[in-house]
Amino acid sequence: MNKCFERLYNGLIKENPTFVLTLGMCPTLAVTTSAINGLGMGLTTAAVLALSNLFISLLRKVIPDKVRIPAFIVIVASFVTMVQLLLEAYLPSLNASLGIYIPLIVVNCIILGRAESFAYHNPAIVSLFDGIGMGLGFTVALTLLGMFREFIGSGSFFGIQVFPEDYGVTIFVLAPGAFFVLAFLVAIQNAIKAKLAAKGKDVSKIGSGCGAGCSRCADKEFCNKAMNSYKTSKKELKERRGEDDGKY
Amino acid sequence: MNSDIKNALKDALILLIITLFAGLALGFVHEITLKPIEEQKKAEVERSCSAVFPDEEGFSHVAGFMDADDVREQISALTFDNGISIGNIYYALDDSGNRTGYAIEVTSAEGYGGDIKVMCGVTTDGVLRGVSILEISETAGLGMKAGNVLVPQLHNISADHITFTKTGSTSESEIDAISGATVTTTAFVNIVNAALDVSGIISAEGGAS
Repeated sequence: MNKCFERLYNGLIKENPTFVLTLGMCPTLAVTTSAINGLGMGLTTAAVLALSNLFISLLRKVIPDKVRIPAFIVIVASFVTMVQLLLEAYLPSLNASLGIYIPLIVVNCIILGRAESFAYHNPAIVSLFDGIGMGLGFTVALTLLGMFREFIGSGSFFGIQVFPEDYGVTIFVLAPGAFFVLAFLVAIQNAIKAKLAAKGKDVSKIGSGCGAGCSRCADKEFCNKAMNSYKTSKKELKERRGEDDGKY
Repeated sequence: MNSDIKNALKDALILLIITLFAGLALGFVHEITLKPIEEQKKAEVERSCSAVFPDEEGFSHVAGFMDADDVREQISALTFDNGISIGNIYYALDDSGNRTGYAIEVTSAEGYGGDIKVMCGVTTDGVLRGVSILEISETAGLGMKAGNVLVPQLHNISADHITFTKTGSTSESEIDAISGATVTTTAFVNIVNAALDVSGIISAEGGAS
């Protein structure tokens, strides 16, 4: 049970697919013109992610290593098609506003990434929770992005007009706005982490994953080194400044 | 060599089985959602048709819609030179089942961001009752304003053709353009004119029935 919670936390904060891993940028930037679109896309992806993680994990001993990628794609594509049929039948407005991005979930790199790096090597229940965690992390990120873009760009909050649309900054609902908001959100989050780290607090629990968490990342060692040398150089800089106080 | 082939066959067989089961599951979901999807599509047509025939004084109430199968062939033979194509056509019927107008789906391929698909409501005597947008992907803040700027203007216009102006509309057949979105406005004007043409043709040919 503890492990399941850890997976949820991991997906939501520590290895948030959007803010930390920066995966799945194409749908992220394209559909977040409003908060509700972001929420819808996030939840749709989360459902596919959780189900495909569960099934890939259940079948991990059956799927041969050589054909695992086609097998993953078959499983993911089936779930995406099912979700799309269900949306068409019961939530046509969401289906219309997400449009082409629903079939594109098939090639969403978060889903393939989790299948390859987690579900294929871990038991079913933990994988299910990994999928839910990652999916919720994606949902939170997309909703936040959509919320800011919608508010600045068209002056509304979840569809409720706060100030007249004509005063909105149109560029925020266009593609460049997505990059601006994403960059700001990531920067804010990194600033908080850096500040906490500078104060000497243990950030391994919220750390950006690198060196601390990404269990299967090939660059783990390198990342660790880079992070450490960055911290020491900052420390040195501070000490030196302290000595030189008054001169500058 | 022999064992290589064996392994490859085994892998392929497992993949085949997985695909087979996925296919079965898909077929099952498809079967379940078939009816609701059809109903949703029907409701969508009903909604967009009703939207272009608002209940107002001076116009007869529209009670229902009927596929206009009898004119389909004739209309689909029409060609337009400005990226216009005509989609489905429905007859609007009043309470006693008489034909009072046409709901015509018109698509313009000359939008700024792709196809613009609009449902146009025209009465049998050629009055444009209203339009409703079915599909649009114009630039947000510019062409996307069509819903707020153009649609309210395209209401109860009795004219053979409409035009747009950037200096303030002075007559019924003139509409104000969206500032900064001439391409979108042009597409809308072409759509409405095509709908008016089509309604004229249907009235002339099939008006007697």
